[in-house]
Amino acid sequence: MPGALPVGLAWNGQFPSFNDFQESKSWHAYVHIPFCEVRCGYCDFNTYTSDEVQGVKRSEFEHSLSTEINTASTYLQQAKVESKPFSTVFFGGGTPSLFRVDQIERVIKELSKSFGIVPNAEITMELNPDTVDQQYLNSVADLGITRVSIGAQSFDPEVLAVLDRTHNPENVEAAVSFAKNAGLQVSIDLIYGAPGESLASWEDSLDKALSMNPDHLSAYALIVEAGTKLARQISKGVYSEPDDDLMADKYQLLDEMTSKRGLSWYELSNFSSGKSTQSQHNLAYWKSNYWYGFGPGAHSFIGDMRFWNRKHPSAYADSLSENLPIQAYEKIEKNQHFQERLLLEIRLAEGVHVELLNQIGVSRELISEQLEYGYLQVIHDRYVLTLKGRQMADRVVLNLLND
Amino acid sequence: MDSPAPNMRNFCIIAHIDHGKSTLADRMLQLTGIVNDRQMRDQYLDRMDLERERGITIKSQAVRMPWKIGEQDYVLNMIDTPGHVDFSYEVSRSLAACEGAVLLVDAAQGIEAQTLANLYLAMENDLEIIPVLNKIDLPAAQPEKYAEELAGLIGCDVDDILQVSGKTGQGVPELLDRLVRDIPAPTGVLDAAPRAMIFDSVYDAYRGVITYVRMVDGSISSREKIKMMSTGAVHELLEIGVSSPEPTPSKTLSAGEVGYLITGVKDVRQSKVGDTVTSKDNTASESLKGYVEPKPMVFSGIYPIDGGDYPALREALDKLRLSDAALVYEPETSVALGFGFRCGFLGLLHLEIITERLEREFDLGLIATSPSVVYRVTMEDGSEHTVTNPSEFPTGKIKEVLEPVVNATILTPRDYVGTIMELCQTRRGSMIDMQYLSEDRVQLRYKLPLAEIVFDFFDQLKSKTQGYASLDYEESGLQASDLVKVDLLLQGDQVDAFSAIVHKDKAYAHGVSITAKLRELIPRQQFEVPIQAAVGSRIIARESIRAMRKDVLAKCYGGDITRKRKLLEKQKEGKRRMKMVGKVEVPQEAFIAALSSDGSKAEKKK
Repeated sequence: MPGALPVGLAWNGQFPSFNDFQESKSWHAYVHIPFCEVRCGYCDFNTYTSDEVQGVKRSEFEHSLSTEINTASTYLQQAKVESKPFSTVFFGGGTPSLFRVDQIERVIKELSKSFGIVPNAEITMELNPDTVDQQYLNSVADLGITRVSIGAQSFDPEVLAVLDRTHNPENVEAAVSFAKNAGLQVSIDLIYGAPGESLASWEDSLDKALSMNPDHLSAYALIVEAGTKLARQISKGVYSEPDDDLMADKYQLLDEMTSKRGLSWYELSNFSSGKSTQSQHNLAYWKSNYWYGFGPGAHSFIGDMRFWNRKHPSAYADSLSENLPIQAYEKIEKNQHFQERLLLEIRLAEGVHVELLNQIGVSRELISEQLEYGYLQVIHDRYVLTLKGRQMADRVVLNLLND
Repeated sequence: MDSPAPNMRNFCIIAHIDHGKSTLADRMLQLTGIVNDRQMRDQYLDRMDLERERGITIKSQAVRMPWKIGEQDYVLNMIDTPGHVDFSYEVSRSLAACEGAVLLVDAAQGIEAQTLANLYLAMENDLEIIPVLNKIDLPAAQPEKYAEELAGLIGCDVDDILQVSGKTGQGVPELLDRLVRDIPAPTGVLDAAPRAMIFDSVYDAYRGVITYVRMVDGSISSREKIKMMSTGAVHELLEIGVSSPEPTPSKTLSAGEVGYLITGVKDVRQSKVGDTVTSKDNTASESLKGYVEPKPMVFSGIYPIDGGDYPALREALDKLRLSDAALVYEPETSVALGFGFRCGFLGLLHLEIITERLEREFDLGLIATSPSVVYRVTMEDGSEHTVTNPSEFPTGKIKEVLEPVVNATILTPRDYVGTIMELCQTRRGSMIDMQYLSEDRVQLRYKLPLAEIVFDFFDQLKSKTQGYASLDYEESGLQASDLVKVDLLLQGDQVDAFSAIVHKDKAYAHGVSITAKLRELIPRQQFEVPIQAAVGSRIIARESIRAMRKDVLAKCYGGDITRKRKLLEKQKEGKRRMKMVGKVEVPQEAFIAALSSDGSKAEKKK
């Protein structure tokens, strides 16, 4: 069962007034495609493995998305919110590469029509290495896709088996070269810390991924989410719980090996070859720009509003016939927003501006304590996590907000 | 001597928990007609929820019942006694109010140590003993076997032992007849200055203190002023009466009778169990024998989990004190636990009842530190210290440490004798004697340090004998012992709450176990935390909690932010509940787990 949505205020059919709306902020679109061929054991994303979920067909799902995009633009106009053309678009899932080219095209066209997309916008698509070929990638590149994120996760067959991944690790290399041939930026996704993964196995996976010279690497320490198959297996003792010390060793190795290959961290789990290859879309989340999420369960953030869609594809599709498919919303109060900004911005290599800590009212003592622990360093007027601190980021936030 | 009330019989029931006393009492209430079937509820006389739930009687109460043999009317006063060793003083006062006692024994289990102790107490008080086997309706009942055991104990004929079932009512009318026949009518002098013995004192939220008395001499009328002989305090009477079983006012109470007084005082301390009540205008010259101030035997620090609840805890204790003269407490501060109270109790059950009542009736979250006893420490320089809290144990040259000891009586099937001897041995016990009560039941008597009993002796005894052995003990003075204080240091800082006074030979084992336990209970911190156990400045055990290296969730994208902020709010809340020991954050649960004696409490609650 996918992870639960937060509890919020009930949506009553129209947007309440947006406060704190800032015209200077850029706009970003996320499109959720909730289909996969199989569900991976660690995954708690909102995704479904059949071609048809209670009357909602994968092969026609672009229509629902288009309807939502169109309706959203109307509702925002009614709420007197002046939207801007999207600076980035991100197709996530699920497995977006299960969409046919014409389905992707239909969605991009609707985004352009209803909101606009800025010229040369970063448009990313997540790929399963097993579901793409050269022709497909050439075609999506022609539609304006500029970047792919390839879910390799690991190159160790045993680890892939634990994660329930069915792709053939050898297909990753092929997918990378197809993407490069099509002129796309390439990001590789890895997961480390699965039960049974040794330091050597992780080193090998990293080495293989880096040898493909990706522009970008995302490497995530495995999170055992409640309710997943993996969580059940761990609680039953089939697998042992991830070991935090080993995780920390793996992160250090990750930092070392990426920098040797010319990739540097710009967010805790994200490494790029340069500023131009950073994920502009994900940076929008971390820097609190405005983003609209389309598709089942997708979240949005505009002004002081965060809202999220109905989760199940059929509930989502059904509600589209008369309204936006929004499940609930919350109004982010000023101090909540500051706290969110802290927990997001501290993840970035550019760190947190001293002004934000002042606005939150973090005491000097608390800051110097983090410096003493060696978690933070001062770079000009910003506080930036050290290598040790990056592994303790959530604790640092908790420490700084100690009242 | 003529009886002042020839048709009255005062009796109590001596029984072990679970042996069916309350159920038998229910049947008597019904048979004598003072509670009809519609009013009847199970365990009618047990007032507190806690009593009914735990199936035990904490406070006693008296009930007046009519009974007729032929054409002759009689009045039976049943005085309910608490069943537990902790309340043995109250038991002794209840016994002193009676002329007879029903010795009630479960026909499937035989007599238990506590019952035996109370039986001896009754015999010392010259009470007429009426032996009764209960639960004869049970398939597992062995009335012949246990009848023989009882006959041996009290020196009667097997045929004199009544067989009843509180559940079905079988044999209960015969028992009532027998009470009238065998128990002597009360003695006392009707035309003397009034003297009444207080055998129970109960706080009622609406009426103030209700004092239960046995009139020994003279009489008291509802318009009189009464006087407490131990303090000389004088009170106006608001009401006197008898319970049948609901309070029924009357004009007078006379020698031989059992009843209640209400004076409007709000604190049971002003109406103490064992004290003698007389009249202000017709004051008796001598009080009745046997009054003793209740003396706490076991101490524990009680702290609110939420420091903000301290005033509420104080108020709750003040309230409980109104109904419990044996409860003593004074404010105490602990580096680890903050502000709380050091409380004295009659024993472990008393401690448990009080903490449970505080939690239940006052909705407080509490930590109770592991119970300790009172030590008397004499220093080389001659100074003396009374230690009720291990953290007060003096440093410097100690000449002698005295600790309280008890005489313990253990009844057990013979198969477990070896196991029990071994247990007593490891608990520093020395045997007094051993005797066979019957073919397969043995009575062992040991002198044991009270500290060992309050630790986990009872639980060990029960678990090592599959629950068959029973225990009773009475205090037996002090003995000098080779005791040391073991301190616990977290990152070099002593944590007073974890200090313990143990025998020198056990200091090392204790140190190893407490450090290992804390290593499991305290989460990793941002730095390495050494945990040490020390006697004085000597480190006897050492563990260490390695520094935490990872505390971050790898992913945080659009859909995660709200969830993450809410998690953060929860974590902040959790952090507030942490206790800081120096720079070390110790979760409340670690204190509770480390301080409660080996989870035995949690087990009992099941």
